[in-house]
Amino acid sequence: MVALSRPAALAAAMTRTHHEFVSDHYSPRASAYLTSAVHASGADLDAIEAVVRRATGAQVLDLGCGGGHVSYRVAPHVRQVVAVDLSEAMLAEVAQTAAARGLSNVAVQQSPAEALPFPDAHFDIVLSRFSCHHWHGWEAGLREAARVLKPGGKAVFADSIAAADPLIDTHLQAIELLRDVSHVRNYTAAEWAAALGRAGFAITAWGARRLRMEFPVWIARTGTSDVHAAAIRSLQAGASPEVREYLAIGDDGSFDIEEVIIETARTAG
Amino acid sequence: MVPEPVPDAQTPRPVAIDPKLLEILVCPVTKGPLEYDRAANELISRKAGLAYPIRDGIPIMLPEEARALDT
Repeated sequence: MVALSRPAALAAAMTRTHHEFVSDHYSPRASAYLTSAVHASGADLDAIEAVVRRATGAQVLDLGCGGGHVSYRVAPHVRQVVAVDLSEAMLAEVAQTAAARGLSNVAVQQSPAEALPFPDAHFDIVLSRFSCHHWHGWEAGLREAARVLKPGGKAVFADSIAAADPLIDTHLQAIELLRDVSHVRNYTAAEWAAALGRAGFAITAWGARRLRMEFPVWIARTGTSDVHAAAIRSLQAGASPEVREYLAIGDDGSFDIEEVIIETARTAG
Repeated sequence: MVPEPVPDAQTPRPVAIDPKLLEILVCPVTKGPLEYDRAANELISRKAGLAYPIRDGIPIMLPEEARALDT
């Protein structure tokens, strides 16, 4: 790779699409997501596994698979898992890991969530975990998820969300952007409920949990620059008591995020 | 007579590909359909001139992992 001077790098970054940007951004980080404890386990994965446990004949889509943790958990229970992501490096890791674990019913397909290459009503189950906040067109992606899912099929969406209080929301989005310049947006629970309804999903179960983000691990995973890490700490130091309390910001910068785990069924028609 | 190949670490063992899966995978470059080359254990995109590998039964639909077809 050729090192670009700062203005040239900026110009290059500006001419790339968001999709290319996200793909490039995550490519060097693929193994960090494969080994991340936050990503490799959790109550959300348990909930996802419970949904697929008796679906032995199911064709499953893992939408925005990242490090592939949904695919690995689900593959032993179902007929087929297609793992989709923008990042080629992530998908290469997923293919390698699935092979090493003997999960030969996994396939990896590169695609943006907003324009899936699959036919209508193909999948029995669609799963998406910690991905939606990266999508450029969140609602377009949800519509695509609905389109490729059979009527009556199940979909589970798990993602970190924004607080309903705009003060806390703005703080979180700001530090998320500083941490990861490809961050798009975390949505509130209300936005999730409304968007899922618009996309053609009926909510059947709603779970939530808080997850501790350990600051050094959290910034190392995305390769946050020192200047951005310092800016995050500065924002945290200046945050109002409401923000500090709600996000449980610790002295070392560690804090809690909220995650929702939303089980849905595709409405007919 | 050709002796049966002995499977070892170097010889990829062909795993039957789910036909339902072959119906839906596409070339990530052209978004077009693929042909399954059973002998080579690859998925061919004629339009892109690329052959995508199937490793341990896992189709890998990534341009960087694909082999250019000699045409």
